[in-house]
Order: sequence, then C-alpha cells, then structure tokens
Amino acid sequence: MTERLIRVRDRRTIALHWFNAACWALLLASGFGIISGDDVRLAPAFWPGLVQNLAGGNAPVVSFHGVLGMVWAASILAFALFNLRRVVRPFLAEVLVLTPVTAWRDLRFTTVTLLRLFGLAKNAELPPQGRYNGAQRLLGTLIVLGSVLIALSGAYLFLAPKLLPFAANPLYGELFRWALMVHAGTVFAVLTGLIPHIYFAVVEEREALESMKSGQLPVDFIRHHNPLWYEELHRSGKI
Amino acid sequence: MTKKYVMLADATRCINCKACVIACRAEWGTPLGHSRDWVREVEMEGPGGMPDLMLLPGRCQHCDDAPCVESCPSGAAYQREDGVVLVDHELCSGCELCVPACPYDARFLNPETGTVSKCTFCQPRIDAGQPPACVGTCVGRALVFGDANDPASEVSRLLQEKEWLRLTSDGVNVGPNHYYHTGGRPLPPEALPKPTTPHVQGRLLEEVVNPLAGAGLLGMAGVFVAAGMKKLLDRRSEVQRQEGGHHD
Amino acid sequence: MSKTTDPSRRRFLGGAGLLAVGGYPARALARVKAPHAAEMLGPSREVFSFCDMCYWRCGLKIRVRDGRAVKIEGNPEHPNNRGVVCAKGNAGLMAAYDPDRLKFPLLRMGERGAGKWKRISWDEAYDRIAAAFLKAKEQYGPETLAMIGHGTWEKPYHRLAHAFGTPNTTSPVFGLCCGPRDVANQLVAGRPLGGNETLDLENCRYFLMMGRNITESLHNGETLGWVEAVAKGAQVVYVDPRYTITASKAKEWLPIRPLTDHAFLLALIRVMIEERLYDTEFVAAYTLGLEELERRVARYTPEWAEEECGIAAKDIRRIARELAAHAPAALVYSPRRLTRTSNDLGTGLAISILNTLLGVWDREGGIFSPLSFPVPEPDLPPFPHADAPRADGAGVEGVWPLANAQYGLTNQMWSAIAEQKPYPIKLLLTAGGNGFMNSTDFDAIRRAIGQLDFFVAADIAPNEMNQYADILLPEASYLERYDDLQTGGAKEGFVAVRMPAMKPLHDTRDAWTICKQLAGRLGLGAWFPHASAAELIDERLKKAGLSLAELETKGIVKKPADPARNFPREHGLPSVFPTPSGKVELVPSRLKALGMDDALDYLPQVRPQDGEFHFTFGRVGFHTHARTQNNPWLADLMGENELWIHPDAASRQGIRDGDRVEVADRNSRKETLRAKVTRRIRPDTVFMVHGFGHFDPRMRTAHGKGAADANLASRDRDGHLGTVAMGRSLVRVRKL
Repeated sequence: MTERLIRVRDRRTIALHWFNAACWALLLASGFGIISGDDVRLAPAFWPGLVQNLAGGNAPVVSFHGVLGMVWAASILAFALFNLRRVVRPFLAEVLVLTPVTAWRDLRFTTVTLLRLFGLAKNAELPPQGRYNGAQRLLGTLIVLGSVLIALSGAYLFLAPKLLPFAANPLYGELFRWALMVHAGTVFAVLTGLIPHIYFAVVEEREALESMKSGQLPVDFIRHHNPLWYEELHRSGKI
Repeated sequence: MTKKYVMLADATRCINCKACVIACRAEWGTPLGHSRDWVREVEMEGPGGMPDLMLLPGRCQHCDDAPCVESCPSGAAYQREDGVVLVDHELCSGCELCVPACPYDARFLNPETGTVSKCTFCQPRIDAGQPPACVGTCVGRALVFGDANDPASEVSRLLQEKEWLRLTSDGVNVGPNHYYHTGGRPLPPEALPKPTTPHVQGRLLEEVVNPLAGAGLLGMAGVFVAAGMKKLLDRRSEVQRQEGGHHD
Repeated sequence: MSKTTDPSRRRFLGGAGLLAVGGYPARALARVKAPHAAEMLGPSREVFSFCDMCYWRCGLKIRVRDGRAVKIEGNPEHPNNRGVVCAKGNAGLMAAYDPDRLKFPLLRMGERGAGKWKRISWDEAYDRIAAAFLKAKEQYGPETLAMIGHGTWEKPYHRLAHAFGTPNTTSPVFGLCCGPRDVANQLVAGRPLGGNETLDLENCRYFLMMGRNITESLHNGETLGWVEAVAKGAQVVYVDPRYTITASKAKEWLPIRPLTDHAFLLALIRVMIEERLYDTEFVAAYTLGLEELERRVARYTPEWAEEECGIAAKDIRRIARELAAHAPAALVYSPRRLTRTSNDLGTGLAISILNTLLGVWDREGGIFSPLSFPVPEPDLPPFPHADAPRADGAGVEGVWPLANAQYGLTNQMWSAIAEQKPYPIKLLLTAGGNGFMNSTDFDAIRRAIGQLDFFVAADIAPNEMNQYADILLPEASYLERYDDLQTGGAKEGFVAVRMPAMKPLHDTRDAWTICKQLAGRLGLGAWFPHASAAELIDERLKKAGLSLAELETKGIVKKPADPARNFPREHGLPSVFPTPSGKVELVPSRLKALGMDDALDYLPQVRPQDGEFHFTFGRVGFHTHARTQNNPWLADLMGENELWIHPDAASRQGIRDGDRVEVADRNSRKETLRAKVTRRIRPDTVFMVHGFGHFDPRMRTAHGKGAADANLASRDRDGHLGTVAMGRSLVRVRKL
C-alpha cells in the first residue's frame, strides 16, 4: 500500500518549531546553570557549577541567557505578527483551551489516552478529535500562555536590575522576586508538559515527528487520529 | 593548607567608640543610613539592681552554612574557600532575597550601587596582609582577625586562651565564624539570632514551586519511562506470540 | 512565617530533592563553586600626618587616591595612638568634605549674626582687616586686640597677635578644661603632667577613676593603655554620678553626689595618713608638710565624707587600703575637664596629694617622666613688650595669679570684652573655636561681640560664634596643609609631621599663609619670614639635625623610651620635683604665699532643693566637644542628645522614655530635648551629652538638634583660679 501524504505545515512553521526547540534547549541549559543558591535551585549543583566554570563565571551565563531569551521572544513575536492571519490565528483557534467545558473534555481525553498507554480504559468512549487532540490542546495552551509569562518575567528579571533603582522603591524588588518565582514555576510547568510531547513524537507517533521535518503527514494517520480534521480536509477538497 | 578566617571580638575590651563603624564607612564608602558593621550596646540589670552593659561589636559572621549564599538565585552571594562570604556585584540584581535570610541582619541594599552590601572582612586588605579596617582602627583592640587554621596566629592563641561564645541560639546555628569573649558572662538573649522570616517568594520557590516541579518532572518522566517499558514488553510478547504462531 | 535554619536540613533536603534521593554526593548538591568578581579598593599612596579632630593629636597615615584623601589610618609608630584611630579621627575626612564648609572669604552685609554675606577676594579681606586693626591700634593701643584660638592649628595666630603687641591671647584649654588639674600638680610636685598625661597606664594595677570617663572622653593612646591594664586584671573603682561605659568596665561603681569629689578625696587622705598607709620612705625622702596636712584633714573623717558625698565610710576606708596595697602601681585618676566646682583647685590638689602619698612618682604603674625631642624654634625678632596686663587677669598678681598666662581664662576674656574692663577691647580675632558652645554664658558672648569694632573669624566650618564675624576667613583643613611640627613627650620623645593629603578645597588657605599674608598687611612681616609652613618646619628640623624630606618618609622620628629616665626611682636614681623647695609640697608653699591655701580645705557646694536636679554633661566617644555635631558621619551615630533621668525621678514628673522635656536653670535659661529614662544615673542628677543644640542655620545637619548644655552649665568661678565652675547649675525638668 502506498502511503498517501498531505502537506500540513509550511517550511517557515517547521523552522520556527525547531528554532523554538533549540532556544528552549539552550535556555534551559543556561537557565538551570544560572540559579545557584541551594534554597532556590532545582538542578543539582554540579550543573550550574559546570556551566559557570565553562563560561568563566555566572555573569556571561546570565548575559547569554538574557540575550538569547530576548532573541527567542522577539523572533516568535515577529513570526506571529507576520503570519498572524495565515498561521497564528488558526493555530490559536484550534489549540487554545478557553472554557471549562473544553478543558474538562480535553482533560478526560488526556487521561484516557494516558491510561491506554498502560492497557487500561480500553472501553472508554473517546470523542473524535480535530487537528489537535485534547492532550495537544492542553499542552499547546500551556506552552502559549507559559511562553508569554516566561518572556515577560524573563525580560523583567534581565532588564529591571539594569534599568530600575531597586533601592528607591521596594516594589521593584518585590516584583523581581515574583517574576523569578513565576519564571521558574512556568518553565517547570512547560518542561513537565514537554516530556509527553517528546515521548509521543519519538516513541508513539513517529509520523508526527516526520511531519515536523517534511511538513507532510499520511492521510491515513489523519483519518485515524484526527477524524474531525480529516472530514474538514475532505470537505474543503484538500484530500 | 586552606585558611580559615575568623573574627574575635572581646566584649570586655570594647568601649562602643564606633571607630570600627566609621573606619568601615570610610573604607567602603557606605552611604549614610546603612552600615556594614555595628556595635550593639545591651543594657542589663546587674547584681543588686545595679546597671550593667554588654558591648558587642558585630558584622557579617561569615557563617560556614551561610543562608544568604543558599538564598541567592544568581550566585552573587558566594563564599571563598577561606570562609569569607562576599557579594559579586556584577551578578547581584538587588532582589534582596538574601537580606532577610541573614539571622544577623548584616546585609542591606546599597542605594548607590543598587546591589546588596555587607562586610567583606575587607577582603582586598586581608589578601594584601593588612587587617580589616575595623580591626586596624579598634581603639580597645577588642577586635582580632586572623587565620584559625594557622596554629601560630594570634586568633589561634586567643581561641585557646580564652572562653569564646558565638551568636547562636536553639533555633539558629549556621556556623558563624565571629567569636565573642564576655569575661564569663552569658550573652544576653536579645543579642542572639532569631529565626528569620524570608521573603514569601523565596519561601514559595523553596517550599512549593521547586518540590512540586521536582515531583512533577520526576512523576511525568516516570510515567513515560513506564509507558515506554510497557510498549517494549508488549512488542516483545507480540513478537513471541507471532513466533509462537509460526510454530503452530 | 518563620523558619529555623539548620545546616543538616539542607544536606538532606537540599533543593534538588529529585537527585539527593539517589545518593548524589551531598557536598556537590550544597554549593555551586564558580569564578567570581570581588569588590576591590583602588590603588593609593600614603602621606603622614597627625590628627586635628581633638587635642590629643594621634599619628596618622592618610591614603590618597586620585588627588583626594580617601582613608585615614593610624600610624603604628606614634606613641599617642600606636596605630589605632577613633571614630572622630576616621571621620576627619568629612571635616574636609563637609558640604557646609566655609568655602571662600566672606564679608558681613547685614546686622551681625543676620547671616547675610558677600563673597570677597582674599586681598580685599586682608585690606579691610588691616585697615580696621591699624585704626583701632592707633586709637586704643595694641592690647585692644583679643585673639581667641581653639583647636585648629592656632599657633600662627598667637604669633600674629603677639607681634601686634597684645597680651590677650587665649584658648579654652585652661580655664574651661584642664586648668585646675595642671595647676594642682604644678603646685604640689612642680610637674603639671600636661595635656597628654604621663601615666604608666599599662602597668597600673588599681585605678580610682574620679569621674574620668576614659572610654567616652577618649584619647586613643590613653584609652588603649587603660583597656590593656584592665584586660590584664587591673581593678577599677569608678566614681561618677552616672554609669558610663567606663563604669561598665569597673569592679565597682560609686555613684557619688555631684560636686563632692573633694570630700571623698579628703577622707581618703585622712585614712591614708591615720592608718599609715602611705609610702613612708618616699614621703620621708621627698615631701614636705605631712604634719600640717594631717592636721588640716583631721576633721574629714570617712563618716563626715559619707554624709557629704554619699559613699559609705567603710568603702572609703577599704578603698584607701586597696590603693595602698597596690601602690605604687595605683593611680587616683583625675578628670580631664576639672572645671566643676568653686574649689576645683582643692580637688586637683587632693588627687595630686593622694598620688604622692602612694609614692607613684617615677614608678612603674604610676607617673613617669617623659622624654622630649627638642626641636629649636626659628629665630624671630623679640615680640614687642605689652605694657598692659592681660585683660582676663590670667597670671596677673592681684587678679588670677595662678591662672596660666599662655592660654588664659577664656571666659574671663569674654567678660572683659563684654564689660570693656579693665580697658577697651575693640578687635577680636578668633581661630576656630565656638565661644557659645564652649563657654557657659551666651549672654556675655553676645554682649562682648556687641562691643567690638571689628571681628575676624578664621575657621573651617560655620558655627554660632563665627556667624557674628565681620569677615570670615575660610581655612584649609588639616588634611590640606602643612603645619608646624608636633613635638611630644611620652615615654618616647618624638617629632612628627603633618603633610597635606591634597590641595586645599574651594578657595581656602592654610593658617600659616593667612597669618603671614595678614602680617604683611599689618607691617609685621618680620615675624613671618618663611614662605610657607613647609619651609618653617624644614628650618626647624635642620636645626635639630633632621630635614623635612627625611621626616616625610617616616612621619615620625623618635627618641627611644629609656626606663632609667622614665622611671628613675625603679633604677636607683632620684626623682626631681621642680618646686620652690625642690620637694613635693603637700601644702604648697606658693599657695601659702598667696594666702590661698584654703583651697586645701573643703568648700561645701550647692544642693538641689525640692524638685531640682544637679545638672551634668559629658562626652561620648564619637563626638569632639561642640564641633563634630555637623559632621555627617558622626551625626549618623548620634544626631541629637538626650536628657538622662532616673526612672524614680522621671515617674514623679510623669516623664517617659522619649518624651520631650524642658530643662531650666535658676536663671530661667531653658533648653528642650528628649528624655532618656535610665537607671544609669543618680535620682538627684540629670545629664546630657555635650555639644548639641546648635542654632546656626548654616550647620544644616546639626541645626536645631538636641539641647545646648552650654546654655545651662553654671557661670560660677573657681575662687582661686578663675576657671569656670560649670557643675554648679541646678535645674528643673518639665514634661512638654
């Protein structure tokens, strides 16, 4: 049987995904390398020790992390602005989980999917999914909102000490500390979500990973996993 | 051998003249309203209702287990091998997470630098073989500074000769390297460190965010490692079943 | 929210819980080790100097960076401080960098004291001063000039005034401070001991501190020597109505009734003679007048003294015995400012007599003989003979013959100007100082200034007195100038140099330049032949076989201590007492000749009536008299003074700690300040730290802070010396 393929995303989007992934990898590596104090640090000390010694101190690590973070945020923002109507709006419309009803539905989907990995809940009814299934929608929402929070808090963490007189107003420091907590907490949350993201791409659904290289996805894969999307593609005559 | 710097303060020789405070201000240009060192004058009631005074010069205690170092996100608070706790002003953001972490109230946000300041044991001076500014100027020679790992040093001799106390309490003992001689009198309770109240964000990070994240990451990773294993096992039994089928 | 910090907790629960569980090495989890930047101090060079923040004058090394003095350190070679520097000395930088400093010559525009000034050139200032001085000299004679110095380097002003022909130069050190102490020692032993008292503190084993608050009215070398002795186990009996920091170092605090020290001392003398506790050998060989002294003190029994001063008779007897047991390593320690009662001379004599009975002269742990380092003065023409006697009567037969004629009686000088008696004084030149805050009579100062034709004040910083000047000359601070040499007598003889750490800031000039330039305008140039202070001291040093260049590399040159000369009686050598008889005179012959030997007898002092308090004042270790309250660094340590009052007395008046109170004396002089309610003072006494309550608005830090003790201290005089009896004020305290 020859696989019928369909183009589902363009080169720029693919490039953005991998750019985003690379930035995340570097920002995580450097970010975990910055946080030093035992009371505020999650990574074991060997990591910041290694990173800071390689860089000749924490200051260059901080600069690298801050500058890369701003490049990352600015690039994604620029992409979003230039591809607003074509890519971003449709993507957000598909992905964002905005109501409790959808949230409940997606959560149920996610739970059942997880259980099925272990051969459980085989008989649970699962509603047909669109382009993004419930789990992807939850993760997507987490990533989109998380990225905004991470970018904003990160910008404050990096720029505020250079621009604001902290001693003049205790609010500046107060905000810094909240930003630090939000920044770290959000990164941890997204990072937690990335574990299944990578698992499914690497282990369960190799086609999805392939599509993030070629831009193409087998039609059968879509019909099987994303029937609603399949119908929509069918209706619009793309298949 | 690694040095182990300690400060000895002989309360019986201290006269609260504040020479140490001004010498430090001059050396480090500390802005008014803040100081890196101090003299604490505790008024007590002596025997027979007579007044009594205890004079305790103080500064950063350069603790072995310095809570400021542990609370600093950027590593701006750090400790040298010889025990001196310092601030890397290139790294310090002025977030003040370290300030309430210190049980001795030794750290403050310097309005001129926007970074946290504290006693450095006059690190450039001691590295050049001079005493810290406070020690060099001390009118009663109540302050003595040196390397406790050098058996020939004055501090080693004094540590042997006299009885020394440290500012620790049941709740707080972070291994201070600042010693006090009181001539046999107990340290007044008001001079002892109280448990600190850290900033809420620092506490949330330490007690909520990081443990949750650690558990979440571990849990999530565990789930999918398990899922992967199950998949592997399933595939193996599938293969075996198919092989078995062939045999049939 | 509170947490306890326990090191072990971190080892096991360290943030990275996820890996610690897996037996990850605890140490690696605990700390991140990485390269770091540390705070550094910029490169600097050092110049030598000696301090000018008080009159003890400690040796300094001043660090200079980029042409600015940045840090003051002690010179370990200097015997006055052996390397340590007090808070005042460290804050000397702010004497130069004081934002309120006098910056250029000023001419008064409005009423005297109204604070309206015009900046003028130095030349105009000199011209105006010379014109006024020469006119008044013509009209009234040279004695119409009074020169009042204080503390900053006043030597050239003395020279200028003497060249002008007036005898009327004075500074407060005698009449407002140490006079009675020095005269008493001079009369008894012919050895005044001087401003830097020659006491062998380190080896003393027993101190009877007569209100000598040595830890707060502190001079580095003296305080350090005393602390050393106490650390080595010397016993201290501290006698003071107030529990000071010095009291906290003592074995015993005796809260004596104010003004009655003399009674306590007389009883000690009596016990010492009665019980033969004195050094019989020394007394026999070196003293005169024991029998007469014994007769004179016979009535001063410990029981009598207990009634008078409040110290138990048995304690008086015990202390006499303890003193004797520790002699000669025992000292009865005089207060420094012995200007308290109307018979301070008697108190000083009693202290000198007690030390003599203990035989401490020229003994280790007692009083030593200093070495000197003679450096000849430059050759100058003799000063013109002053026909008129000193207006303050200091050293004048029939007026105050015992008062020191070099320093004079500053309060008497102000009175003489105020009254224009015994002759008109129309010109006033002040060099530093603050007549308001260092004397006790604001009224007399105001009236005196009102009598003047012309008032020139030279100073570094503004204060109440110089705001009344007609011309105000801004001086370079001690960090910005050379000065005449410091030659000293300690166990070591020494000569020390003051070098400038930087150029004078603003449009200021050093005192030697000012006096030389003024002398030129007044036709007195012959007395200022040197182009600069540096040239002057180089000439002096060359006469002593040294040079300025050499001294600048060392800061100080010393003649090493010589135990045989410091302590001759420890080495079988005789002591020398330059009295008229050549012996220590227990009843001084000079006093008898003047008919003033009644000073030996007790003179009862004032006692508070119902609701009144004894008024006392004193020092803290981090302010110098009335001249550092505007120093921003020192004001940060203490910005205003408080009224110390005992809780029993406070509760009677409904006063609580921190309340604002008004203090008023019997002459209705009033000051207000906050109350400090403390057991550290007698219930019949109140106290405040000296030097606050500044009312010159140019002193932006100190203005209006605290109360002026000078406006409450007594204006009475010691009947024999003319020194001020500041402690005789009785005050009432009212809650505001």
